[in-house]
Amino acid sequence: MATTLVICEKPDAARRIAESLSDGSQVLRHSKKGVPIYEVVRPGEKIFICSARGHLYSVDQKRGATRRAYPIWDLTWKPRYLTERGQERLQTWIEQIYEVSREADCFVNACDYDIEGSLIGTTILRYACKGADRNAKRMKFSTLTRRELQEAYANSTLKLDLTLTNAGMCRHEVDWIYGVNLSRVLTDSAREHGRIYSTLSTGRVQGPTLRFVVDREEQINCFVPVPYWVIEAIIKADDSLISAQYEKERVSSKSAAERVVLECSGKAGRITDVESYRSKIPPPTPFDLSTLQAEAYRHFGLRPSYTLATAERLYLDALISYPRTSSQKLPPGIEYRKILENLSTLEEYGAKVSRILKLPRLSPHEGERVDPAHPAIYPTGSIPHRRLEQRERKVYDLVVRRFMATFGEPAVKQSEKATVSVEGHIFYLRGIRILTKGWMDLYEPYSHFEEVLLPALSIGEIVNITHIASIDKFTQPPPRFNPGSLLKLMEDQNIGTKATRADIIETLYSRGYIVGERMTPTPLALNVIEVLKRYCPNVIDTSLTRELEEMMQDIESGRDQRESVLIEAINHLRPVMAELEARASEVGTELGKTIRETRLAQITLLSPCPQCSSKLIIIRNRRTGKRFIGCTGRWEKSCTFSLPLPQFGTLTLLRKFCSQCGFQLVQVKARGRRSMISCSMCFLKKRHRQATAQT
Amino acid sequence: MSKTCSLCQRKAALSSDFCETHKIAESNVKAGYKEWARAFDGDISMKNYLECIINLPETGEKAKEVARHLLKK
Repeated sequence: MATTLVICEKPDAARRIAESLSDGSQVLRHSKKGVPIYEVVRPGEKIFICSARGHLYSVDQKRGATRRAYPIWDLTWKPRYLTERGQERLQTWIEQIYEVSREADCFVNACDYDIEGSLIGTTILRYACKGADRNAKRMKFSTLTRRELQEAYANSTLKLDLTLTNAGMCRHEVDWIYGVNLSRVLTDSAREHGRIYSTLSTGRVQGPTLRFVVDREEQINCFVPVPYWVIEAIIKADDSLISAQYEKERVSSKSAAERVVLECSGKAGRITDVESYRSKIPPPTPFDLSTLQAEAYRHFGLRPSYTLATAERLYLDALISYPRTSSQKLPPGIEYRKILENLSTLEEYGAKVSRILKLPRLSPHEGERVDPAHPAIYPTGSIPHRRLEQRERKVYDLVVRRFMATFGEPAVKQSEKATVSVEGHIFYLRGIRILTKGWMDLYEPYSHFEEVLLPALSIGEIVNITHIASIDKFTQPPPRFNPGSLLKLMEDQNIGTKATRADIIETLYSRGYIVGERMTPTPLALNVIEVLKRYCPNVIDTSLTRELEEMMQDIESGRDQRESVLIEAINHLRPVMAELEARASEVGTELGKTIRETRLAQITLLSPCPQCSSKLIIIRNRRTGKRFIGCTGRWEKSCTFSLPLPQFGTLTLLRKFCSQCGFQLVQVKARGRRSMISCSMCFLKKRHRQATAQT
Repeated sequence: MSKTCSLCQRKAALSSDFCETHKIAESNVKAGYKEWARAFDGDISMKNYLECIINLPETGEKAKEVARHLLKK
């Protein structure tokens, strides 16, 4: 009997693949040292299905170098438990996969069909299964539905997708070389010359992304508003009061605006033209990952990384197709009708789906983007077998309604424009109404259109200006990025991949480079970018990252070799490292100063000392280890003011103030507990009151 | 020894009293005055203009620092 070993990317996917391949027969689940391995017996074949836990192998430096050494150009692939702290459990995982592989004579990579999936599967087959990648097969699927998995297994390709694997390996290697070398030189310079230790990181994609945020902040900081005036007018026509637009959206001089108001105030006008035209609004295109992330952020305020994680959970439950896709196409092979029929069994979609099914032809409105590996994101039609969490429900609903909307008919809107002449000045009355809702009805509540209705107007009709005023306005600075808009910019600039962009943004937060939903760079970020701009502008320039990105895409399509791209990347980085090493003293001093300022700012309260007006800071007693708020005026002014603080959890000084006493609030986050916001001043007063009452 | 910015401790840009960022802010403040003068038909002094932009929430922090610096001169 032949024995096959199928490698999956995640334990949930392994379970689902095992259930699908079992053909109704029993699925045996062996838990070997906590590693789940499924066994399925089919006529003439025994199949073991095991899974990875993300990457089991990663890039690391070759033996001999310390963890602080740089520059490092020699690298190798090692088990992740040797390269990352906290991954010790992966050793057992790899050992168990090896044990099962010894029984197998046929191997299948069933990881997600993309760069990362191919890389995860191939490295396991190559290293854990001792060279099994040479004759392994590849399963290709976009959903975890039983039918598709069975077909994918039956039609496995006889070879692994080595171009995808090489592109993946190259991406990891280039990112490692950039990230490790640059981060180490910055961290070490600050430690050596700035005399302070802090992990400073930058990378091939992280640097340019942070630069977007820093550059935007610079534009905002240097912005000077310019005044302009808007003419606000209300016209009475046919007993209706209608808001009118002046011919110039902005009037750039005060006197000109005042003149318009003076000349038109209380005057009558004549309608000189009435236009009306119909236009179609095409349905939206199916979701690729970026548009799903942008839409989820717009409607639910979900960060891109959360949307991706939620979509992946829905994919593992076989509710939606593979989410890491850049395609906006829905091939007919996915069987639109069947999916819609299944969705119609869900109460919330039933009525709308039945309307779609009555259409003469089911044809989705597809976008331009193509992904050779996967179609756009679509619901599989499978019914949720468990109660979805709130976030999952939202994303699922969005995906389903978007899918339905793509089959809808175009919406038809009627735009109307009446031109009114008043004392030589032109005003416009604009109306817009939806004649046919089409897809908008299917996409509700995510489609929103505000109608403005105009009464029947005719040329020559006399109308009166009942109100006119000039409103003072100022030009506005550009808006700060939010996770959605930054992700969009990264995509437009072609830096990072659909799978990594959201993580890069999260890294910027976790490294303390940016804060807030409206991204504001911290002083540390401003300084790191300034240093990089001065000494190695290439590293934070999008063009270099984009160039490398294109080269890696060439590996994917077989037009370039992994080795040549790696050499090219190293050649770019060598002079940069040399420059940074030569200037280590200046770089380190500058960074050290900023790190110190940042740390001080993190523990300095905005509320001053109520006794001596000096700054208050968080102090930890070296002897007892207890923390409290103390006054910096202790030595100069002998001020002994202090306030208590919670002793457990991570403290954050909020930019919010107590509604009772106006003192700055403190947030405490402890593992496994809900975060708590408290006011130290109110706490102290309460304690005093309690003490007084007791005595 | 290299010159430092009049408003912060950073290195001053070439042939300027300001660092790169404050230099951009200065250029924006100066260009802004021309636009403000046009908007008010020349009926605004540099002093009034600087006072106005310092009090506007839309004005960037660096631009405000430059405006305050120019007012003191």
